[in-house]
Amino acid sequence: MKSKLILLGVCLFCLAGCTPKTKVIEEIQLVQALGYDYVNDEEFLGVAGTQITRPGEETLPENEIFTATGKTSRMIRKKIQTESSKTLVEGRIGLLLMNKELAEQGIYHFINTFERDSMIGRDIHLAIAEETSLEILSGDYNLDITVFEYLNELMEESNKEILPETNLHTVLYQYYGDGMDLFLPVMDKKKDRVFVIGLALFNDDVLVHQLNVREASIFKLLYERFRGGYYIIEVDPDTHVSVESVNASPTYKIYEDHTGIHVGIQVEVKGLVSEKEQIDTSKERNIQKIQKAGIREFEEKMTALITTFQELGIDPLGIGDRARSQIRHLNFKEWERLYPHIPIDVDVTLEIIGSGITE
Amino acid sequence: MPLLQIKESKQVSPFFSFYILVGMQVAVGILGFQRILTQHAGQDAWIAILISGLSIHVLLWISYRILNKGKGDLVAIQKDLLGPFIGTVVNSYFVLYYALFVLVVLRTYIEVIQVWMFPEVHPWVLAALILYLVYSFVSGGLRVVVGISVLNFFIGLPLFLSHIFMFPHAHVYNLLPVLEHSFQEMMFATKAMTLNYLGFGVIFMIYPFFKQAPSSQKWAQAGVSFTVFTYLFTMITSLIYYNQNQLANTIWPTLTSWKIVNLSVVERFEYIGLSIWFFIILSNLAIGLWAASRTAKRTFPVSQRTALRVIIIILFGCSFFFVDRESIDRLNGIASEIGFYTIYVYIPFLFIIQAILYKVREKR
Repeated sequence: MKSKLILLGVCLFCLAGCTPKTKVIEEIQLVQALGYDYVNDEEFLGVAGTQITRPGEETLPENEIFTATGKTSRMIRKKIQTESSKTLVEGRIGLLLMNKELAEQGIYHFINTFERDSMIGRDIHLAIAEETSLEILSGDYNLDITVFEYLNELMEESNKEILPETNLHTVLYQYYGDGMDLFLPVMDKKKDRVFVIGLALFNDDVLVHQLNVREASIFKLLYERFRGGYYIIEVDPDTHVSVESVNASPTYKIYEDHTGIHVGIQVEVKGLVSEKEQIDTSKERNIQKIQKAGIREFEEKMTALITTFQELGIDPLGIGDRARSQIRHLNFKEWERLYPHIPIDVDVTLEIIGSGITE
Repeated sequence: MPLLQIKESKQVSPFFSFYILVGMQVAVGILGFQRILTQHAGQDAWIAILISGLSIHVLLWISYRILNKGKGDLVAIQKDLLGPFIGTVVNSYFVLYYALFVLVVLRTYIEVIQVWMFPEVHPWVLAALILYLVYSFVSGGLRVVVGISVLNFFIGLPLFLSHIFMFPHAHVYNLLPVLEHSFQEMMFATKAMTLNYLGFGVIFMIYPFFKQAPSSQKWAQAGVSFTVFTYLFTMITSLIYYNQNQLANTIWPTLTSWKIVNLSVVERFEYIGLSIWFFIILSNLAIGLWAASRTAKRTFPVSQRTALRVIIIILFGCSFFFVDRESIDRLNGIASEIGFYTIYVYIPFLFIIQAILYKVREKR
């Protein structure tokens, strides 16, 4: 018993000096969003968005922005720390913004420091700022939620319906994987609102092309299975029909024969026509007309997108990765050489399920 | 004939062999075994897990044959078969072997704690705390150790649920094409899997402590099956969640995959997961240390308590070495190599020697 007490004493004595840094919630400043902006070829601006809760008042937490310029993101974090009276902690970051100019130089450095940091989760959102991330993060949006909640919810909402899903995990997955390239949503601030204005496509880690929202939503049909979304079909030059609550699922068929590799993409789209416009949707003939026009329009747009990808030599659809799973012993060096010339066929089937609650 | 009779008050029921084997085989390895396997066998890594699992089933069966015939523990059987001198040498080797296993588990777990939770803490501080805790378990005897491993089995079980969060990001076609790798690559991966299954070796020392010892085999085999299933499930979810380049570069894929877990009450699930994992590590260390000290007691004229203290002090001393990633990786590699030859070469060898010797003795 005595020896055990002595051992306990020794443990306490030895360990007293070894306690890890304590983090008391009142004494730390949680960083909610980080942004990086281009300054010049060597340096960039780091923006840390945090919020301060005033004691005793039932108001929203206030925004607090810290900025610093430096050559590495670690350096910037240290500099930002010198501005704040409390320890900045990054465990709750939900959004990482990089501005477009910076993305055109390459974003690997930023995603790599995030990847290595054991404090950073994988379900955080990444986005490209059309102008500067400082502008977006320091904006005053007059809403009943904080800026960072607003931006995060905006991202989540657009991920569901318009853009393909992106978070840090998918970005890392696409960056490291063979036969796929990454893409990120683009945000822009206009007056007192932030808009998602498109999808930035990367070659390796460099931004090379940007799709607008309509192209991006077509891209989503090709990329993943989802429900939701909103599409407009031009039936006649002056008749437009909108298709909603789309249920889409793409299937890839890749095979190799003596003439080379062939890729076929089948996209099944089911949708509701709820807005009754100049066309009477109770007639079977008209439904067929919409379907035919829709298929033609979707196929045209999709083929145009794929041609663009092939011309740029980028593979955001991950066709190379899908080919790896279908063709044994696929050589990626060879694949990259072949990719721009491979015939890729798109085949859309469109099914119109209903037309609202009135005739 | 070496006969070893353990008092019934110190024995445990045969079905506990299930918990002992699971507690021993599911160790730190599961946090990061995917990396080495994918480096060799890519998307076919899961097949390597099945192959090596199957071989462990066979080896466990051989081990039980040796034990059933020898009617004692490893120490007695080796002394009987190899003579007193060589027997003692081999027995002391097994003390080191079990201790090495404990060192690997301890050091690897401490490394994970350092990287993920407390980078400022010295490894020896954690080693001191953990070893003191394990000492208090092991000095309580085998029954306490077995009780701990049963408890910890059920504490660790809910961690399976964390895989659910990976399914929305699954790319099932990552598993295709099946069997793209050559036989040689598959064998390398199978060998790399060995370290994770080594733990079953403790059965050699625990055997006499089972009531109706031979009947514990079916539970032990079930334990191995459960382990294989655990590794298989983890490997397949990792393969469809990551791509191969990521898997080959991530040190702890299982741990990193907890980063996608999104619960409204915890921001960083890794901390919860790692803490739960500590219980599984505890049963590992406790059983391993029990086996090491038990072997020492049976080999040398010392009490088990003294042996335990000496081993713990040596292990604590070792925590001052192996400070960086590279040396820990090398330690794992060496242990894996030693373990591979011990179970795949020495155990069958012992089995053959025993068969021959018993035939000869019968004729006499």
